Amino acid sequence: MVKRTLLIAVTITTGLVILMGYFINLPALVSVRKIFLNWAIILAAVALLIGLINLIVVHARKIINKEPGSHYSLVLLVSLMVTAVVGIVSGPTSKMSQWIFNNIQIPIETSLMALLAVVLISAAIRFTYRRPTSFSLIFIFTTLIIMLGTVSNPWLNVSWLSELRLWITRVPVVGGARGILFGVVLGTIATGLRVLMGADRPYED
Amino acid sequence: MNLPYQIDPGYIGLGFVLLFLLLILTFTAILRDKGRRSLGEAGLRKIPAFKKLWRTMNYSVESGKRLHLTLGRAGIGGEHSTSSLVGLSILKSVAQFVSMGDKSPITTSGEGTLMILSQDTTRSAYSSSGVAEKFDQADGQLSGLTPFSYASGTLPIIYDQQTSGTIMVGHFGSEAALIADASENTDCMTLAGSDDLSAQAILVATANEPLIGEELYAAGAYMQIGLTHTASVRAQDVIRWILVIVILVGAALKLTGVF
Amino acid sequence: MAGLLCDNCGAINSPGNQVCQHCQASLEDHLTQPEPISSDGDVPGQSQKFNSTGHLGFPVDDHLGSEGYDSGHKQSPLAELGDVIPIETVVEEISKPKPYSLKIRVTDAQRTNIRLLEKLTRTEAGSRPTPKTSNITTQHIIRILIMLFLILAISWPIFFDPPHLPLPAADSNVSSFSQHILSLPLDAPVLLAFDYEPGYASELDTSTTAVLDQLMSRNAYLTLVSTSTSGAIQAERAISIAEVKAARIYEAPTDYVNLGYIPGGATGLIGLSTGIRSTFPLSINGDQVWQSPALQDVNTPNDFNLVIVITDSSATARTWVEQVRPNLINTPLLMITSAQVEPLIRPYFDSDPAQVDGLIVGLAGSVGYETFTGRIKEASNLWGSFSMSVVAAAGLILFGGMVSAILAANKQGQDYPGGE
Repeated sequence: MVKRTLLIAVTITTGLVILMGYFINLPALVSVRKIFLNWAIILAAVALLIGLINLIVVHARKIINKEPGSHYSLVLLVSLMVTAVVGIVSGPTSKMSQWIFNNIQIPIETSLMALLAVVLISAAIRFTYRRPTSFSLIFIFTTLIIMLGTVSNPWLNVSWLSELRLWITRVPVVGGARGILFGVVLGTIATGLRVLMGADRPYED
Repeated sequence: MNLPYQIDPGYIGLGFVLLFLLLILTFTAILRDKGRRSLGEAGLRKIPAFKKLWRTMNYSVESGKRLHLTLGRAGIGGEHSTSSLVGLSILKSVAQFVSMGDKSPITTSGEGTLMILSQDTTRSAYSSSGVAEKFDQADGQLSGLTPFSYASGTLPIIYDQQTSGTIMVGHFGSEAALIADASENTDCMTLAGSDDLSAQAILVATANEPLIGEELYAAGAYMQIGLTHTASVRAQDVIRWILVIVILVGAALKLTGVF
Repeated sequence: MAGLLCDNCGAINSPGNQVCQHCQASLEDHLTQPEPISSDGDVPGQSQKFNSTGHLGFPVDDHLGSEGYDSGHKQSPLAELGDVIPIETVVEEISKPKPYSLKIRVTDAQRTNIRLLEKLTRTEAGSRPTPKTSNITTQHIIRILIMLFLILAISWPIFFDPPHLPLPAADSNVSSFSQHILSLPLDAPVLLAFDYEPGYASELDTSTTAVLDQLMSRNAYLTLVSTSTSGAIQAERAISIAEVKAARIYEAPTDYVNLGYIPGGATGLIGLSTGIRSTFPLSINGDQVWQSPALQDVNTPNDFNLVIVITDSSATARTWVEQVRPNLINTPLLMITSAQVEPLIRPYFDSDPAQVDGLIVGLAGSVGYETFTGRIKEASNLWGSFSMSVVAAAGLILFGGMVSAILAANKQGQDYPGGE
């Protein structure tokens, strides 16, 4: 009970200090806020390392227990070790690191991006099947206008398509996006306030 | 038109936040006072996605399958941290519910702090349900550190772990399409919400239960985590109306040349 | 109701009869009220009234013991219970049973319910075999066809006579971008932020290379930072590619410096905007760079001549605008973004005063930039394949969408397990 009260008190105090430091221009408050923010940056960097350790532990366990897919875990661990050793020994931007990045990571990630294109086309095709509503028809037609208005079409060279596309991206899309963003922002503030009030406690034991 | 005095924008922001806080406290008091605990009584509209989520949670316990939650790739220190916090709240609620089942939920994330918190949340949920011994650290995993590596690391969980449903709540980008598509391919229910607009557009097409805009942030109220969650959703509604009026009035004043 | 037993013939007569209906023997002395049996089994005053067949007409075995089935007494313990146990029901029971059908009368509705219950209980009790999933499903086939169609569309301009595809013109955001670079003094320090993921390299490489080429032509001193973990190495890669395209050698730390990764996202950018030296005391290679001639007067991002952000994320772009832009008084902020970011960032360019001073969006923006500068033709060479693939994708979505809509009109709802 004491521990819980202490945790909530620390959370509320820290949150209030950072919030006040952002709105009120008091030198003392601003400097305390900067200290807390620096601690947050350091914690984020350390958490990255802890995450890496967790990754290693999970996949090592898969290999030891000979679970299905453990051969992929072995590849992951070997790649991780090799990349780490190369980066530590020769530097993160050395020729060897760049070779690994250019010849392994870039092709893999751009392939996944290409896969994303196929997945999205397939999802767009299935969309009217899964949700046969007028909304889905509007969605598909808007998608087609944006796609065809962006590129040069060898068979359908209509200037109004690119103008329509410009109008759609600059007017309804921006308006709709801003509206959704407002909702997201309000939700963000509400969630932050709940944490400040102690109503949301992700740290609770 | 120039105002006779200058208002520090910081104080306007602070006033806005204090108004929001006041509204949350007021609605919490009203809801507690009048005993309005159900969503209908609290004046919230129905979101079918959460109803299906409850059903999927029931099914996962009955069938002995596990649920998969993926919390995105934002930590708790950035501007996307609140979507991660929402994901953690849902994780706690889900973990407490399915603790009576055979298999614990498995959580994947794309960031270190989130991975640690997801393990902690699952552990505390199990402790509160009296089954602390069921917790396994491998139930909270870091899938990858870049967006596509995170998505790739999540796919084996969906395909190999015989999940009954995938809950994607947090900060995702376009890689969310890969995760949602994998979940659809395994005939699982996919509830997905992100604070990123591109991801929301993609999830509308790929997930069978997408959450748009602030529906993600209303998850706490619909999962009945607490009265404050319901109160904050009502407070958001009020603030939204205030903003609409301010925008309309401001636009009118700008158009007429007053400002 | 007790009946009267005739001692003579053993027939059951109705109570109240004086004579037996079968043999006309007198029934007057027939006792109807049971009297207690004595310890030796005699029924007081009763024994002489029982017939040879014993009480209730059952034959009495003469060599039975003295418990009441003695031949001398010819009566059973049940002798006095004639009125309690109705004799006619007993007599009826000992007759040959009527033939009853063993079939239960069941209605059709009950039969249906029984079958359903049997089916449910059978599946519950037994183990269900794991459904076999085929390696090749309809979805796989559709995706393979989509992939093949896209490959055909992409390779069409390469292998066959490409149709004439006009290149997009440079619009105002692109020309503004270029003008800001052309107005740079020679050797000016420029801050470049590589905030895109490796997956988007194929979209952003062309515009990045063209911009770097133009910057290198001005001998700009490039300071590279990133809020992405892979940004530092992305930046090195971009410099290497630009060196080749621009036919120049750009070396660190004389021509550029890579400061590395800014942790903490928006929090890190707040720190950067107030003091870049405290955020990066050393370069990524551990060099002391702040004493170099190019950077000795640089303390904040506002001290650079130009800040260019290359990003694939609208959130990152907005964060730079919201956290760093307010501190850029005299320094323009330019952006190279993915096409998905345009709707959210364009208002910053269109606003008055503009918060983003130049914008290159996607491959189309890159082509426009190359057309405007007239230097590298990287994006222009890709434009044909890109256009054909997008048109092919649009065609697939249109055709597939129509087919799906028709199928949906005929289908029954199918749900996932546990759903409605």
